[in-house]
Amino acid sequence: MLKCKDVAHRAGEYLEGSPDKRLKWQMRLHLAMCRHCRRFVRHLTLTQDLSTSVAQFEPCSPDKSQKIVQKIRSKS
Amino acid sequence: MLYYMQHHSLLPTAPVRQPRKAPPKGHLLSAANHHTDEKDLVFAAINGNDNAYAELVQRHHSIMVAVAAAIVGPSLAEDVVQDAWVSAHRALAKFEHRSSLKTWLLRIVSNEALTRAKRESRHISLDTQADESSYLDDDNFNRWGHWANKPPYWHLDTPDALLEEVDLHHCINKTLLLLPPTQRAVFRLRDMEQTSFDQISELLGVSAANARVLVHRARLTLMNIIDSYQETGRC
Repeated sequence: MLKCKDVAHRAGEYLEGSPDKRLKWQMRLHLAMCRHCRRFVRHLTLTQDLSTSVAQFEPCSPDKSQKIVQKIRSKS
Repeated sequence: MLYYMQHHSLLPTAPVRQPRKAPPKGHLLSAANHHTDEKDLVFAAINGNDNAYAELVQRHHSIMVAVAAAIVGPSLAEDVVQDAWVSAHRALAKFEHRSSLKTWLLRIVSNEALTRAKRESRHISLDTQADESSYLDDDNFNRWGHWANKPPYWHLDTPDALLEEVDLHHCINKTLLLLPPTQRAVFRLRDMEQTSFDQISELLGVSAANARVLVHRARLTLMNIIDSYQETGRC
């Protein structure tokens, strides 16, 4: 029987669709009985969705890309 | 009991979650067009069109820096990626489009970075230790492994409500910048680029199991930030 601590550690694996059937059933059983872990898993799902939607990474500026091309030209 | 729960929808089903591909912001081309367009750029670059190569650099430089930073650290990452672009330019004519250009470029930068890390005797920091505030901290659980500090209630707990909180988005982006480089790279490869754990393991030189731990830690750090925002309205 999984403990809440195990759920916290393995929730990511479960949400990714782990092929481990034993884990899947143990998680389902625990989640059916534990509202705190249901909340944890729901929040983790929301976090992942939100982060993926809003994450922005510094783009490469046109200046930098031109400098890289110049470096390549100077080496060839 | 299990049978009853199963057939009366009491058991939560495992929602198989694939990381969602975020569309490039402000990009109007469909994925198929983007691919064709990239083939044209590669062809033009092979034929000496520097602007086409510069466009490819602009598209892929940032993710390459993330991968290099995870392997050699942020201070050497830019240098390694520039060398990777030089190597890629030399080998571009041999690129056969068997994989995507991005995958091919990431392999090149990974090889450059792993070679540099070996030369500089650097070791990849796995950053798998939990932060003090992490959900995985032992203090969050009692001696029986049950929650001692229960996950807090969120008053904004629908995707739409969370998407409306612009300040929260800034908090998330600020936190992503503060993540250790390996966690940041794994988060980006897995959740933003849908890269498989096997491929991440190959690119970063960490085991697939460690890659899973790293992405889980990154997500939990972000979840802590949302907890704090829900409670205080600030990061």
